[in-house]
Amino acid sequence: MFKPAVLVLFCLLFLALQAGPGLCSSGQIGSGLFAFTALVDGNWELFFAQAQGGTATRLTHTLFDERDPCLSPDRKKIAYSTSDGALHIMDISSRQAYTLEFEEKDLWRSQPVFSPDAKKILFVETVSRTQDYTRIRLFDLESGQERPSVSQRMSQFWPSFAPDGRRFVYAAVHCAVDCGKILQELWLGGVSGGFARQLVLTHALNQQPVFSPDGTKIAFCADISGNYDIWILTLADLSLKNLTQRAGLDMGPTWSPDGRQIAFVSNRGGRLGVWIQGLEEGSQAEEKSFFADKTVPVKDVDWK
Amino acid sequence: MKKNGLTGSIRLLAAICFVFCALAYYGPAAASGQLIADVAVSGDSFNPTAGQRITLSFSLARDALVTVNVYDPDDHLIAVPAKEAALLAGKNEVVWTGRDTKERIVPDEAYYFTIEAATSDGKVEVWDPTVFSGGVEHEIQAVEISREKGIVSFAMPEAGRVSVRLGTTGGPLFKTLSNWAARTPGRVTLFWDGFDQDRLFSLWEDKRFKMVILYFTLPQSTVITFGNSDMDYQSYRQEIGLQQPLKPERPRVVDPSLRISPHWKYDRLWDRPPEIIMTFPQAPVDENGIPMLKGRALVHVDIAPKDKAYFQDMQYEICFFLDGAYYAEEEIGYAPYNWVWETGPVEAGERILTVNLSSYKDQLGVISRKIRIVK
Repeated sequence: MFKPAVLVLFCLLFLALQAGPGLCSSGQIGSGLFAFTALVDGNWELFFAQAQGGTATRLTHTLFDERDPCLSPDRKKIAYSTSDGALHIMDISSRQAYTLEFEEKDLWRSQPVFSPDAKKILFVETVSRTQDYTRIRLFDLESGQERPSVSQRMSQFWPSFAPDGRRFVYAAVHCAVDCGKILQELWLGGVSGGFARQLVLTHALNQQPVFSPDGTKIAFCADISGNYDIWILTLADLSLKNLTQRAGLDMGPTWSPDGRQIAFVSNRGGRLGVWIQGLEEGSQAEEKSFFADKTVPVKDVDWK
Repeated sequence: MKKNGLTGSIRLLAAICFVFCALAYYGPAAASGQLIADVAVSGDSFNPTAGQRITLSFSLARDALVTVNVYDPDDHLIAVPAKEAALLAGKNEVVWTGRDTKERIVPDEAYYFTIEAATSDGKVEVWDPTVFSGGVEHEIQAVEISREKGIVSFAMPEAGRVSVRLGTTGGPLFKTLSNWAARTPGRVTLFWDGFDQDRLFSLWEDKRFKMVILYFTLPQSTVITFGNSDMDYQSYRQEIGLQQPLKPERPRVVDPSLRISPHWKYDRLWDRPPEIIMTFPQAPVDENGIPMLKGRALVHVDIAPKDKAYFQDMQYEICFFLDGAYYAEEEIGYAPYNWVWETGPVEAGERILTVNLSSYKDQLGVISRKIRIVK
């Protein structure tokens, strides 16, 4: 007489096991590792945490700010910048970090990103102290050599490699003071230079674009709606979708390893924190807590 | 001939009918609409604490039940001088005493009226000046500056909110003299002794001195109250503002060629320069209390505690200027910001370090500090 009940129970258990971490609704966080910065001891320090459960592990103890962490594809290293304009790569397990050496030592560098094969870094460099101009350059980790990427008269920011490693998306400043506001659009360029084309025309400030793991979409932050939201650009038809649509600041998107969710930084909780939202219609964002003390501000998140 | 004459007559008759219908439809009431017209206020400003009042006058094309609301600059309902008052067609007046719904005298600020009229056959018309007026940005270039008297003076052609920023060409903002303060039409006189915000030097002496004066218009029917020294607008809003209903949003009908200021609809509570602090955590100070920086120096920039609630979690462009010249910049900055400054290439001696913290919505904070570069 118990057999039907057992069968139903078995089926439910089977289905639950099939769900696993790979099938994510907005209430379940995917797998992988987060790297981020948090405000502790008066400055922004570098942390990492497992995507599923686990509290944050602190990686740096400095007096200045760590910023822009980028996990390597194998999750063993983090590239990041510091508020003295230097770029670093840290081995997560050993906590050992080294500083990238450049010929021109005085320039300000930031926003490093690993290539898919982890052999190169794209980064942003301020040309000189007297010019308000930045450019994206490529650093070969094996040879220690750097070279230009796309040469443009516009200031360039926020590079992000495409999964194929041959192209990258970035933001370029079209207009600033003359327009009364900063107009910054998304561009696609060849890593070896040679071509670049504008992806969208939004008349807004677009920043922090990141390719989805499958390379079909780009998530980015923009004030198209008059407020900083997370937007999704589908490359097949160049359609745009506003993912977050809330008042307040939503920025710094990063994709889950399976490409079904977006983590981003938002101040909607009353302070800067990391929120996660699925891509399906009606998905609600939920805050990802890394600390027992929920008042600790968190920003600059990367998820791999 | 007869046929042409008949056609001409028909055309004339059609034209007469068209004009008649247009007049009937729009008529004298169409200065504002069909029902409400000729809206005016008896003055630009008044002092409720001195017992002064302001009169709103308007014409009704028909008898109607009329509600007059008063809103603060952030569209909160502040007072209802007339609620479903039965008024006759013709000219009408409603008086506002400058008190809110709880009979408190409102803080000094700019307020505007809306009028809602409903006729007995169900016709409703709303006169909301924010639909068709307000927010248009202009620059004022004709300015009189008297160093002797310590004043800056200019003419306001219409009621508006004024921003006066002082700095240098190609250099930083050094002081905000007026942060979108509401002003009536007429002469505006501001007192300024020429010093920067932190009173470290006189801008009069700098040949690159630059002043930028912008204003955006306030909606029609705006009145500016003054004289309330007991409570300012920020305190008033924080204490009671959140409980007051917001005006319904209505689509704007404004000439698209006009430049609308982004500050037009910013909340008055946070549309202001954040107060910034700048410290040098590791630097000793000399006998005059001036931080001495050597080698790699840490510069800590943060929002002052009193402003953290509004400004802490925003994104900023953070610019550093050394003796008024651009030195370094962080395009995507947050507070606090810890800048590691390599002072080796900088000439030794006493210098002025200035920081401009600029939000992406044009709230611009400034701080300057004297420092001493030592070798």
